[in-house]
Amino acid sequence: MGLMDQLQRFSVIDAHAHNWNRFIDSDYLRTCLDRFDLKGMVILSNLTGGFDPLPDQVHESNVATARLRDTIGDRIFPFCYVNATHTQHALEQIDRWNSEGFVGLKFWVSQRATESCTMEVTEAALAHGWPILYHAYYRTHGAAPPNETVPMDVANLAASFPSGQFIMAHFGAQFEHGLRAVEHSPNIAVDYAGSINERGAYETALKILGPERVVFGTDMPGADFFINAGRVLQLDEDDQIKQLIFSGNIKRILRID
Amino acid sequence: MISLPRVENPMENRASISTSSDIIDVNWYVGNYPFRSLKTQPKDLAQLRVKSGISRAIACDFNSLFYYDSMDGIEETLRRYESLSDWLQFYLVVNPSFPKWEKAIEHAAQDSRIAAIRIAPCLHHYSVDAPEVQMLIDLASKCGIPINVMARLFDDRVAPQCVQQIVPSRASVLDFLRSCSVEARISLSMFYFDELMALDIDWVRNPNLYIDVGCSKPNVASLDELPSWFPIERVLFGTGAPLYYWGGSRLGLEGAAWTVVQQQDVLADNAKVFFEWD
Repeated sequence: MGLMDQLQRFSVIDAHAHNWNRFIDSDYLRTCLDRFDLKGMVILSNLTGGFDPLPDQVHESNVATARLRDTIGDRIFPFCYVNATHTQHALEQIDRWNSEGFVGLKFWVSQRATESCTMEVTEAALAHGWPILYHAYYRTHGAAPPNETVPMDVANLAASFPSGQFIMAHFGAQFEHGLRAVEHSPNIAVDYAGSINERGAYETALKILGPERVVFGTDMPGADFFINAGRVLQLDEDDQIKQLIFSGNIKRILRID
Repeated sequence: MISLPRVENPMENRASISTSSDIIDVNWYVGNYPFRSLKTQPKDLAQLRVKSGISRAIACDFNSLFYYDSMDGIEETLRRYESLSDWLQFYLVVNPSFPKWEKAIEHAAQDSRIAAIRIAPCLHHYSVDAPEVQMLIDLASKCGIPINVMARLFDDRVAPQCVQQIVPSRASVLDFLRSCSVEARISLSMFYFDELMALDIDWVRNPNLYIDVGCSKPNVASLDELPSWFPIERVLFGTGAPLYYWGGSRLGLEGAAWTVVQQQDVLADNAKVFFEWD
């Protein structure tokens, strides 16, 4: 059986996507949802404002996310984007977008997970029952964004809120170190969304975190859907585990029926 | 609770390419990898071949890439994988900044187990537009053996900290490609889509220039749009397995908005032309 045939056996939700670049166009995004047979897609932000967005830019991103959800419908699961260093604004954004049906919080690279402002904003989001998705990278080469957090920071943040649910994005980039950083953090799930493609990443995640802490994401539109999905299909695991990755775990985290 | 809407499945009528199709993977990595355990014993590769449904593979071995003497390295590799020689061939990695590279080219041209020369300026730290590279290309072309240029081995963001990988600059790649004769058969591997698309080159007018799009970081539309700017009859399929996941590269091609004929060309037929196999 070919991989495309195998893919059709699974119900898939993309737990990590953005409404920038080609996905600004809601028609194109809808076409992709249909073409990839996605049951849902978490929209995190449109990355407006770069590494350190101003309050207006953060708000603009969340408005765009809400507009997309309103246009596309229930297949979009909107996350609220914040820059925690503008703490009061971040807290206001959480309240505002919670009332508009947003379902989670996204931290990118404007604050480290260990900063006090991050703790304060995290607490407010968790009070609404939201999961926190945090970009975290062990970047071995190249210039990192100044406030990019590392996986160990996310582990420390999650330890401060043991009843809260966190998702660490990209397996922390360098997967051996990233996954081991959160190994003993049962309230952290992980995604391998994006274009890093090293074999062994999913296998290591399943081995040390277990199948209920691994969610499927793509980082579209910057990455390819099928290339992300093919990694999961390739695993020497039974369909039950692949289904947990493809949508079972994110359904549990987002309390999706 | 959030309720999911019901939608029709648009992939229901999209058949997989048969696993019995002829598939040639032009970018495997085999041998002893220094940074994590890889299953590359002959029996592992035989299993990988079956699981990934390929008919043949061209591999870059880490001996040839990392040994001071790449000829010693490849000889060791050829002995190790002799039992797979009916379907597994190799790139001989040559560093033209060291002596006797001419001998390596001539040897490779005579050895049917070696499918092509590979150069790795990213790890061997010479410029891809250096004069000695051009001399290498000319000799390989004269000997009738194709050349593969590898842009990188590692993802730039997560390369091992002890490795200084220097990806060729856009200007040097352009100079290199423009200076190659049209007769030289050249393929580019491990270049990203953004890098390839940024090259100001007339791809159509270089009939022997191929690209391998298996490890090329496509965005959501890159593979769909590839035929609009690059001749599909010169696209090769390489996955980077078992160092990288093969399933993504494979499903990426299956899912691309190409015709079945285009997919089959990329999966096998183009490689047969590039390597001049019957």
